[in-house]
Amino acid sequence: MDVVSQLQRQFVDYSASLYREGYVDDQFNQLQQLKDESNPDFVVEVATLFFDDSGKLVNKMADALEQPSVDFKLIDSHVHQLKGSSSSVGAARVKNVCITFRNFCEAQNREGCLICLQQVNHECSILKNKLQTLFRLEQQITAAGGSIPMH
Amino acid sequence: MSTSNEQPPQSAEAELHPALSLIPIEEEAADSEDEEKRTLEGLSVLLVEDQVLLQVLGTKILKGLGATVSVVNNGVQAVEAMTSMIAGEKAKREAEAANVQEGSISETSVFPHYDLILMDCKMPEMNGYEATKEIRKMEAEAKMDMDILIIAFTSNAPSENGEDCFAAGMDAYMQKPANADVMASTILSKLSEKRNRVSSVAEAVENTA
Repeated sequence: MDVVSQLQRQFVDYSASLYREGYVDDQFNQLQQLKDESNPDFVVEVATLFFDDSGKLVNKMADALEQPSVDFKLIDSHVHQLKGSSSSVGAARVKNVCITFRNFCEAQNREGCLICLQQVNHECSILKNKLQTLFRLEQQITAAGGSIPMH
Repeated sequence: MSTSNEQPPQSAEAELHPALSLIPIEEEAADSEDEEKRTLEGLSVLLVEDQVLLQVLGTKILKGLGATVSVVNNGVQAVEAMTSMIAGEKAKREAEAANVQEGSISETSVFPHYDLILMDCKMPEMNGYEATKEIRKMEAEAKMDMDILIIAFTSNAPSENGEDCFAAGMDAYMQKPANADVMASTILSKLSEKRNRVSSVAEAVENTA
């Protein structure tokens, strides 16, 4: 098997594992479909925006949860935002944690919120690493003169 | 040179054949596929959304569908945009009524025109519900039968959507995440409904006159 075929095979397997393990859902595939010749880095750009956004939101939520009087409404609005952005990029696990997180906000449960915050942070971190690996594989395929297999 | 290697002379029929396209068949098929996807060609959309990521996504999808997209960050800016559009429409109608020369009428092109608004619900400064109420109030006060299509674009669960959206004056809602097919079909069907409603009302008014 030549280098390009090997890389393409790795890409397909790795991509499939992201879906199988629930890190991403079909919305991520929708995102991939938006890539075109005029903007081949579209998915990378969107992913970068997502991780920048999510990082800021996590910090805001952490600050809010440290206050003597916790503003659950404020935290809920941040979670709502993160839920919206994560579902829009197909970050399935992050989105699912946000659903639970919103329930704890509604119940004004600080401990539950703290746990969810940790989980959200953890899931974002894992997803970031996984997508970086995926994008690196894409770059290697392109550099070797191959095309990126579609999901 | 052996005769078997000679090229046969071009027949008269070959000379009459149309020139071959320089675009390979696969590209022609791709171009026609892209054309088919541009179902919102000619439509101008005002996208009201505070999150940059969702602005980027929404714009990409809408442009891919052929629409022109203007983006504002919150309800306040949406109201400002519609204020401009209503002012433009008023100027256009006044110019038409005064039967002004073509040169004067073209000045109204500095005002924006939108065929529909995609409105996020939760935004800072002014949310989508408040912005919609304000826009409907402006339309009513302008008395020009303006009734722009406003579609809520929301992360809320379906059960949370209907009452609030319709009570505010929105025409429909779409749930995030954005999907090109759903976006296109919702926009086209709601536009068509609105236009049919407008023509029915106009017909009814005409019949009673």
